[in-house]
Amino acid sequence: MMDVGGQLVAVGAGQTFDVQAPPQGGYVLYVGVRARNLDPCGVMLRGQLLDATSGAAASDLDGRKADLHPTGDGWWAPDVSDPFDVPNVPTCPDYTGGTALGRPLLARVQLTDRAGRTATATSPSLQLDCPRDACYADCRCRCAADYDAQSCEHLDGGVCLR
Amino acid sequence: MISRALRLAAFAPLLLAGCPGPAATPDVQLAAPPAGQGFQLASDSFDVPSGIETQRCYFYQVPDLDHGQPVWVHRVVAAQNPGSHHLSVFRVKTIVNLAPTPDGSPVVDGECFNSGNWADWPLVTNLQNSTPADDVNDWTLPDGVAHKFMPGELLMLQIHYVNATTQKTPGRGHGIVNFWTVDASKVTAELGTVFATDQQIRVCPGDVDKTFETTCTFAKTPVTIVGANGHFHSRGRKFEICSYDKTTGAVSAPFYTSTQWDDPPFLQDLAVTIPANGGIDWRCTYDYARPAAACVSGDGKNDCVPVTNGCDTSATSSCCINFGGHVEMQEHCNAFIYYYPKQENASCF
Repeated sequence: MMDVGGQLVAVGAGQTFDVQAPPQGGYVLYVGVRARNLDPCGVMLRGQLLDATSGAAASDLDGRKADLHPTGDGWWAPDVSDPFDVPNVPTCPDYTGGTALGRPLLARVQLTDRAGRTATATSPSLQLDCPRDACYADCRCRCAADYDAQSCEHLDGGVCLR
Repeated sequence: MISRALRLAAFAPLLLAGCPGPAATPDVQLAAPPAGQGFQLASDSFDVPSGIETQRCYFYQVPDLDHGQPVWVHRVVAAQNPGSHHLSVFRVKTIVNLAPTPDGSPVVDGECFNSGNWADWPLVTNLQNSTPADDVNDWTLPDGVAHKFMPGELLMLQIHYVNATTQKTPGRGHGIVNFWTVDASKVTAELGTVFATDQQIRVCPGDVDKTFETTCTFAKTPVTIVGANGHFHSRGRKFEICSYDKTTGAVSAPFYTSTQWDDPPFLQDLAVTIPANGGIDWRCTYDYARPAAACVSGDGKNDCVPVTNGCDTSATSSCCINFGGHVEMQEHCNAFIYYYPKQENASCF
């Protein structure tokens, strides 16, 4: 998981992560993975959140091809300082009425290398929250169940319009 | 007062244009629907000089055709002069930095290029035809399906022309859209649309098979997709759209594939069933040949991460291209979806 400081951090069971506001709008979670014994060039990374209880999808998925880089200990990982190279899992809003906040979730990353070999990594259970910044109210509104776009307009004085 | 000003705006550009002189190719013609049978939106006819890329935004209000009752549109005919990069119509929602001008003139370039200005403006229709032999698109929706407009509703027509390296405009820029109405008694379902735009994309010189994929779940109840097209720029090699079932995670085989970036297919006879809690999965794949000459960074930042992992030691790590509407220096990965019955407006990015 990429934290708000842009660092790749391992997920501890029960840990809470803040969703992040990307340039494209809405709120996302940046997810990564460490891997080895694969072709590190042009790897397709697909990330998605799952409900920890049912295993059902709890978000849309995002995938992108990226090159992995050596981490110095025999593993390879995407460059997490570069949000173009890690899945931007679309977390909010949820147009089907659900919410990713306040429930146990799993982050799943599926990796496929150029030879077509596929591996999947699933995190321990985690929870999501909104960052306690100037856009907190906007985030809570856009991440709420039964999202209503109109009710979220002009919150926070409009500084969080996206 | 606003209504009058905007109505005037529909005609003023034609008057202000005066005598534009002989055109290299004549402007496309499309007679407006007769009174009571619909309405027409049109841009003015404008010059697109060599080396220029221009995007114009025009604002109009939906006329009152039936004493304040909803206007149901069953057929959309759109036409544009050859060379167009795109023509799109949106319903105006949140105003950020793009709005009707006091004198009704179009917004030219500037804020008309900033997609954040219409982030929550639902798509009405779009067209990407660019060749002379294919300059009109006539689409009658399936029986019983229609767009619903309210009299006075604000619409924005956006038209984009390029006369530069990647695309040429042989004549002038011009676009027209006719909306043909249908009696309300014949409507059984309102048409819905999705404008899904994957904005966190970057393609660098030397990239081959660079792929971005994302899903957009918008269906609370089952829907049927009747039309679709994809949009990217000159590095785009393949655009695919599939149905997606979020409940099971199933992604179908593509129901839409485009390999022609400057005149992509617009499928209008689809009947793709999307289950409840479903939507689309769309993917854009790019090849970006390394420029032979020195290039200018597409995003103005020249901020690509140097290649240090041995994947391509000869790769040029500068001059990467990011998301944006400028054809020459930016890329897109936009899916236009038309379906029924209409769901809540969804903005997927």
